[in-house]
Amino acid sequence: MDSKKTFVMSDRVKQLREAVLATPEVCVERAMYLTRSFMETEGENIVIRRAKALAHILENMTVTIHDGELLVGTTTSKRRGSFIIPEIQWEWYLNEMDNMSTRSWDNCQPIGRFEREQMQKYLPYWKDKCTWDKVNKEWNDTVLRFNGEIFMTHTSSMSGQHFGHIAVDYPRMLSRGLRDIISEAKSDLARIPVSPDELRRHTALKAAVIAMEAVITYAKRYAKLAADMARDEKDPKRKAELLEIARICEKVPEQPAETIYEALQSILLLYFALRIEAYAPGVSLGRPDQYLYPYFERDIANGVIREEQCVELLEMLLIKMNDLACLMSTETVEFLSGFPTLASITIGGVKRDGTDSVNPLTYLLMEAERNIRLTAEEFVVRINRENSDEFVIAACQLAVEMKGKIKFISDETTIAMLMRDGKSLEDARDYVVLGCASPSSAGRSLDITAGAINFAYILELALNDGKSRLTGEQIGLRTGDPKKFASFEELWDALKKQIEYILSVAVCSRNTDRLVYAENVPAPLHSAMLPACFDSGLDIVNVGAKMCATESHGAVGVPNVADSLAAIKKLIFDEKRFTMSELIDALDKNFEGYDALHGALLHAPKFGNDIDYVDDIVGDILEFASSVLDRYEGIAGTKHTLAAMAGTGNFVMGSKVGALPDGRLSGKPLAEGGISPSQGKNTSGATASMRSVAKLNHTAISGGSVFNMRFNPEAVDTDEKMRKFALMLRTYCETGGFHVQFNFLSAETLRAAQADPQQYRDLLVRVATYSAYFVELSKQVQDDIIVKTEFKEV
Amino acid sequence: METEENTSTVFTITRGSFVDGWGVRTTIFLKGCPLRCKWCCNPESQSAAPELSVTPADCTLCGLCRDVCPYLTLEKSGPVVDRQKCRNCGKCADVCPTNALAMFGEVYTVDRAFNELIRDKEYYDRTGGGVTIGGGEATLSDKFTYELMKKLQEAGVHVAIDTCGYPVTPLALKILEQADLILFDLKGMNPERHRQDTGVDNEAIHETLRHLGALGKEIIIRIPLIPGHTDDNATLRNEAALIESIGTVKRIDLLPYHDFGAVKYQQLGKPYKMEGTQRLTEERVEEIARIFRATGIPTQIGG
Repeated sequence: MDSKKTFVMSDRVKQLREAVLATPEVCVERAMYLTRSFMETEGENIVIRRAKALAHILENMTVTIHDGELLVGTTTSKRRGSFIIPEIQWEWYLNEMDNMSTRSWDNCQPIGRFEREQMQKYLPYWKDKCTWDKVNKEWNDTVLRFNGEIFMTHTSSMSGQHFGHIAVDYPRMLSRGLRDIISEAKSDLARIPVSPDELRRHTALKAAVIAMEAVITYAKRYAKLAADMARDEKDPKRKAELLEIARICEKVPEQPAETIYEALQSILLLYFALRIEAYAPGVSLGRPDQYLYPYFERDIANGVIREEQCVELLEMLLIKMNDLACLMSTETVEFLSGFPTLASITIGGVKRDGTDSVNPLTYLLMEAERNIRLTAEEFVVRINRENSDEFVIAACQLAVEMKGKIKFISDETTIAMLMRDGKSLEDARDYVVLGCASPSSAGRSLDITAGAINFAYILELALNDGKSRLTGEQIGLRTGDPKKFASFEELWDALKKQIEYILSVAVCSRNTDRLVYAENVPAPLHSAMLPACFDSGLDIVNVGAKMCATESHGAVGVPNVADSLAAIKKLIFDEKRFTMSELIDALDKNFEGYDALHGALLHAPKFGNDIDYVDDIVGDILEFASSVLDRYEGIAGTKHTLAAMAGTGNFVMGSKVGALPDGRLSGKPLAEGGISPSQGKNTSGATASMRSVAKLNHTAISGGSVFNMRFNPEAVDTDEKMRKFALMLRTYCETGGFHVQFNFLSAETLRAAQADPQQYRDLLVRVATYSAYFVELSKQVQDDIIVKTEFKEV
Repeated sequence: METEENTSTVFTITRGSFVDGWGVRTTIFLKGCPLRCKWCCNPESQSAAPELSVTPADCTLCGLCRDVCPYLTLEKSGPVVDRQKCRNCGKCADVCPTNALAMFGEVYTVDRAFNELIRDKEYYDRTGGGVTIGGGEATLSDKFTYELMKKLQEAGVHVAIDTCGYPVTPLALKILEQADLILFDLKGMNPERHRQDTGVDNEAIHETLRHLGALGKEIIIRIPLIPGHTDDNATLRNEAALIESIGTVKRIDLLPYHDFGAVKYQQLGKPYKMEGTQRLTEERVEEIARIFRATGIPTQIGG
């Protein structure tokens, strides 16, 4: 097909899109029905209880079909709603009930009277029953002290989320229908279970049947609603549409889907049920252009659907993913602000057999996103040598139009990372990217982010004999007076000891949490939708090694640590221009009165400029931390892996750390992204930054990493430049890079650069024969560029 | 045999550039230029030696610079340098904790430049790019540029030379003859005005261009559109005719006047001669582009 073909949004799509742009509202239905069910099932097996609770919610929650909708179903009773997950945490919802519309991050509408009453009525039931209360009793004092100090959102309990950081096996469900899977479960249930494994599976299958029947019931409620609405509908066209919705919801997901329309409705209903069951920002749709393509291809060939109609359905699908805004406590939201729903869709790359996966539906999905461009749906574009330049350019073009929303992932690197963690070549090729940037095999694996660890803080411990510089509290090991370190190796050894210690606490924290999850919050529907769980009877909270499950500890601030170490190595031990004693005094004083030292530290080599001297240190830190995690076993054989992801936590984590030897002042944000160079420090051009990141051993950060780059949109304002950009991206992906996301600057960002030049020193002005950085231009010239950028934005 | 190392002063290296030639490129800007164009946007490129740049806005008034230099005073607004006495030694820039005092230009050996430029080889290969040596005037550091170019070419790197077309030595001309791509500037047709605007005669420049064309060199012509200097229709038509006659010009880049360079004049303590010059309107630039497009050679705005 012609990849340049564009599609205009229909009026009804525009209206539906407009409706989910609302400020989120808290919906109590999930919490209410879940709690009622739990009150009634006390004493029963937890797996059965969880299935019954899901059924109770799906049987009772409000069902609504809005004007113009062709795809139906909702996550909550609100147009853009936030549900409550009291089985993980309950107390903060009550504590923050009054300020959720006024707090400084992620505000929702004031909570209504009905909602308040229900919250007050049902949430206290979860006291001492929710995972957060339970795990807090299990954790030792060290873990408790680290939480919120060195660790942020470090466990699922702490972030208030389930394990729904996964793409289930959608193709299996689409081709078989839930009824067929239920039949299989029932025939297995007819056998007498004898062994412990069989007994466990017996319970799991009973729960699976309850959960799957519940999804069918939920679909049939929509079928009935649509049929009822059709009866009263005056407009014959809409009446026919409602009857079609009724027919489809009567059929799917119970039966196999036969058309693209049925398939979209089928996965969407399952998707909502999965979110309701066990939500985390990361419930993914997997690779829809792959599993939907056979339906699309057949429908187009048979004239069942036209491309425009298909795009409209895809647009409605994307809008639907935005009906949920993930509500988080103030403590968590600092780390993941912006109601992150992270409903990712992965396109591009290769199929399981290694051939190009891009098909006409891939392009249509991109066209749908070009129109919708909301926040919940995340587009991840895999880049493989097998993909055409045409595809990569189209994806880059989309990224420019979205101002950078698109994530690019190197297939080569990612497949190697997944195989390192034990996945087969075929499963590795079939990967998707979940949440921030965690690679995972669709339908075959469970890869969760365990949370974040402040590595800049760990360096501070090594440079302060285990104490926090800001509070003086003894947090880490006593690794000696840093003023007496006589060589770089002594400092490096101290840092390694602190890393080993902090990571052992992190694994303890995480394993404890996972045990609590295994006992308290199984997810029978998720488990039924994953063959490895269904076949073994192991729930996703306890599946571990069977699915090559991993949990990744996100290192935050590693670029700051490496920049600091490089500065110390160069200025103190190589050139001997300053002493450790001077450095520690300067850090204690936040560099006040130490201008010369501070200046020298700022001018030392920085990560992101393709300088091996410092880039290698980043690599050493990551490889060491990864090797430490390799020593530990997770619950049920889950692997502990390292990631480099900061979310928005570089701000709050920065506030816990004093001055650093990279020249960063006390309390200031750490490097963002995870593996992005410190703000404004990568001043050597795009390829230099890309090489710095690509040269790292990414199998040591197999949990994923985030590398953000800034571009001025005018760098790619012609087709030729766009082509260069796309080929540059391909080179990065083919030479060892993993993730990259481009932030194409808006006029607003340029204004921020004008106000705070030090943070934006990397912004190049790309004009032929001329070389300069944006922040070095005169105010007048900067204003000029801003006006031009604004003009293009209109 | 020469014992002195082959060096030049580099004022910046821009990696991952989408301008200055085909593909993704690294542009190395050398200091030193035989021309003195009134509108020069890189005034720090004119003199061949490193020069002190002063940006008072970045000054924290720490006073470290005063201790190392007798020709420097610290006012409330920042450092003030006696430019008559300053020897551009760079000591003040070394101690300055910010970029208030910094050096334009650093001395590079051929090896050091090569080692830095070769790093993006994979990007050049994948994108059809390479290295562009510009300035200043690349051919003014003739020995350095020639050796660097040869070394890069032997390593399989495509080398473009950005030139004003005024080679002053036989070796400088040889550089142009052996480059893979020439970015050739044209700055007006009227000899007298060219002399006033740039300080040199344009006949020699045109002769160089014709010579390179006759050798079959791939050329991109770059024309700065400077209001009141190079933008009248007669000049532009004559330029178009000249370009058409060369035969090997692959593209014409029109570079409309901008004042991005003004701030650098301040940093160098030099007067900006183009003050008050208005930029061309987009309509006028389009109109000019049509004159060149009539030659049939692809013409773009910007480089």
